[in-house]
Amino acid sequence: MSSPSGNAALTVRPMGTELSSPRLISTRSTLATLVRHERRRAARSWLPRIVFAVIPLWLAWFVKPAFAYALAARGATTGAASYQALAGQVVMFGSISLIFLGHSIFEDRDTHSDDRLRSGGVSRWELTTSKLVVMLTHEVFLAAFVLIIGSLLFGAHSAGDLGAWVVLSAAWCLTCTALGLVAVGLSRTAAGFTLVAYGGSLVLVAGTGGLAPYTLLPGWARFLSRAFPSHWYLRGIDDVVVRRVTLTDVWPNVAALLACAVGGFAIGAVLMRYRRTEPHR
Amino acid sequence: MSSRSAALARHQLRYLANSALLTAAYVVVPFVLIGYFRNAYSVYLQGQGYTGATGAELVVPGVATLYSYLVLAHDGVFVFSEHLWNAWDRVRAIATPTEVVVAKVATTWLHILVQTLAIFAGSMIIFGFPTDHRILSLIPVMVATVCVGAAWGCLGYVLSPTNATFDAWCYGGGVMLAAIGGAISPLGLLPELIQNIAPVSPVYWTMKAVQAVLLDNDGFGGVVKPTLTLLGFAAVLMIVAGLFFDAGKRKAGRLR
Repeated sequence: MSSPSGNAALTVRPMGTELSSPRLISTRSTLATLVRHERRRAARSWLPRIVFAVIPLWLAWFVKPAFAYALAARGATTGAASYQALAGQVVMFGSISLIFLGHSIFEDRDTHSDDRLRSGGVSRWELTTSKLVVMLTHEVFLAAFVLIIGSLLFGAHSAGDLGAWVVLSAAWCLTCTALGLVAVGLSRTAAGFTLVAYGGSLVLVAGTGGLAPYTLLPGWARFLSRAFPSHWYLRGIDDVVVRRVTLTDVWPNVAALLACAVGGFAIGAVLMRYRRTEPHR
Repeated sequence: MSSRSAALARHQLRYLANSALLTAAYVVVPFVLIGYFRNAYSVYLQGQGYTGATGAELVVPGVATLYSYLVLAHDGVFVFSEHLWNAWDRVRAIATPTEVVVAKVATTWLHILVQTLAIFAGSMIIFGFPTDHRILSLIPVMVATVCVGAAWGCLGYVLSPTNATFDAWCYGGGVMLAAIGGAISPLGLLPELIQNIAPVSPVYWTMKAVQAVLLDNDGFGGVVKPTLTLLGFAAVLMIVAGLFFDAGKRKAGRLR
């Protein structure tokens, strides 16, 4: 039987060869391309991102006198209050900003973009990692903005060892991003994730002395606060600005934060692997 | 309320019932915050001469008010979802814009009221919040506070193009209003400038009424002006929301 002329270009796959899954983009640049895509998407939600960078400065100004009150009550110099308030806001709005990670993942699910990308050969971990990279970058910029601008606006007192500030804050940003992955993995709906990100951030910051001074928390709250990663960041900052310790003295806090980050990423990866979601809610 | 509004309201209530765990979380999490803040308020109030104060007198109404703003994000999801599911036009096909708005606002108002009552009731058991006759004086001001919360949600919905922006409005705005009004840190500890502008926050008036009734024992007379002011806030917010409301306007996805 002669084949129609229109099918002349068709070829037969040789026996013993396998079809490879099509890839939209070359392997080497897949992650970089996805990161650029996430960065563009992040730029589109610029308004809430700016709001979440400015409100912490306002709130730090509001709660600063409460920290000064607590410091004065225990006979310490009140100059450190600004930095305690700023660190608390870094925790609070770092956690709240995880909403961008959640929205990005849930929007992909709602629009089935994740299915399309995965059918194009993009792996699950590449998709997740690209979002985590952009989230971590956001966390770093947010912490740097709040701490630097806040110090310029309110800091009438030496902040202490700069190296300790940088390492503690970097470790917190990493931990916060890992917590975001766990929260997304645990959330079946966008509404649930919203509560976890916003409601959880209030608990995370209030329970570890970021909104009300740590020394004024009840005993049970101070005991429980050790379970929160933010405790290790805020206590480390307290030690740096009040007790004037250096980086070598806060290594247990940094180690605790990094352990939380590693554990968070590991648990988050497992949760994302077996994640079950409810469509469009 | 028309039968079509009532049907839409029942539909909205079913949404809330289907997410009962989340709805309950907005009642439970405030207790955690009250537990954290109460001691600090107690120390501050005793320093101010209120020797018998436990801190719950101010913290409980403050956190309940804060959560009347935060919970709007939960209710808002079900309104924005109508756009996400492309069901908004179908909703409009069965009811007029006014009927839709009445249904959504009434449900939200009822939800906030029940949540506030639950927080107060739980705090009486857990945190020793006063249970005497003074509580009756607080009813008008708390009802007015709920009205402001619902109106804040309406304005946020009208102004927000996306669900993410609306969430930021509810949480960011709610925390700001609560902070300015003295619900997160005692008003007397706020910077002087903030103390001067605090009356622009409706939370300030709620806290002022609570302090008058529970700490200064001013009785019902202490809540008249704050209640009227709060109702005025609610009216202005609703009027502004009404001016900007466009039933035909599409709301976009989560991030755009």
